[in-house]
Amino acid sequence: MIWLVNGVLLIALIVLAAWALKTRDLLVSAMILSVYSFLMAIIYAQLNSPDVALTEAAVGAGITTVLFILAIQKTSRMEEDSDDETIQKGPLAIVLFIGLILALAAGGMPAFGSPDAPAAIVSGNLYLEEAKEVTGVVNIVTAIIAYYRSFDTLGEVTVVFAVGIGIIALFLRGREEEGDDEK
Amino acid sequence: MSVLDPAFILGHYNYWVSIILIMIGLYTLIAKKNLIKKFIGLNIIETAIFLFYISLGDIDGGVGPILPKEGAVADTMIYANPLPSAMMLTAIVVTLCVTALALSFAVLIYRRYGTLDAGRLMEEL
Repeated sequence: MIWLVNGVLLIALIVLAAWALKTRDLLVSAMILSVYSFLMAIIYAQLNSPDVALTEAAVGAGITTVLFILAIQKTSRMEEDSDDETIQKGPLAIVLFIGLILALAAGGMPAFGSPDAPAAIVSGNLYLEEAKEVTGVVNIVTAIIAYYRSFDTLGEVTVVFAVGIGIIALFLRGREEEGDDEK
Repeated sequence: MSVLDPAFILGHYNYWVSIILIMIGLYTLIAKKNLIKKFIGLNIIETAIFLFYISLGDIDGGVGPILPKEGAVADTMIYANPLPSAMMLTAIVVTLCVTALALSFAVLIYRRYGTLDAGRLMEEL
């Protein structure tokens, strides 16, 4: 039964992604991306990753949508007319070729959810066995983020900081240039 | 194992969906001229990659990697792999940063040139 729910959600994802590609109204496209992120969060939760699901619902469906709406408000809502709706052959060929390579690679992987997949036996168990004794945290994902891979998290925070500084610098510079135009 | 074997196709269904989503996102990124539309395509590709990683870590009949507080049942349970979840948490935040920076570039480009059309921008430059 959960299999059926999962299948419907996955098909809905494809439909929403294609719709976001098709529509000319960027605001509609951003809202579809938000719904898409929410469905993706449900799928993550169903795939036993509650932490990722929460983050995706907050960041992917929430903050990203706000950013897109802000950007659309400051630019234009509709796509330019020069963008023709017909399917272009060159990009389609590239995309199909890359999809074929990815499909060949995915075909060689162990079946989804199979207990003898390498991801299921090799690396997870070490964390699951010792993380509680070493760190005292019951949520293993938290233990990995904050303890085993804390330098990763430090790097992530550095990226957030750098992007914040970058955006502030960009807009300050933009304002200066605008001031110059008025003079 | 035949490629058209139903068990083979259904056994990998999450991977096929993430590949189709990557293809849709990549097409948006290449073929659409509007910059904001391109960033929406980029977001679709990134969530598809998260779906791929999270599917890798999942096990049939497993539960999320959160141990019971004080219990002896811990050994009898199968847990999903926590490592992909931990990596994707980092990746989601980095994705947000990329989107934020890209959109602020788009806003500044629009202020200066009055268009977000990549083709027209190339002519103006």
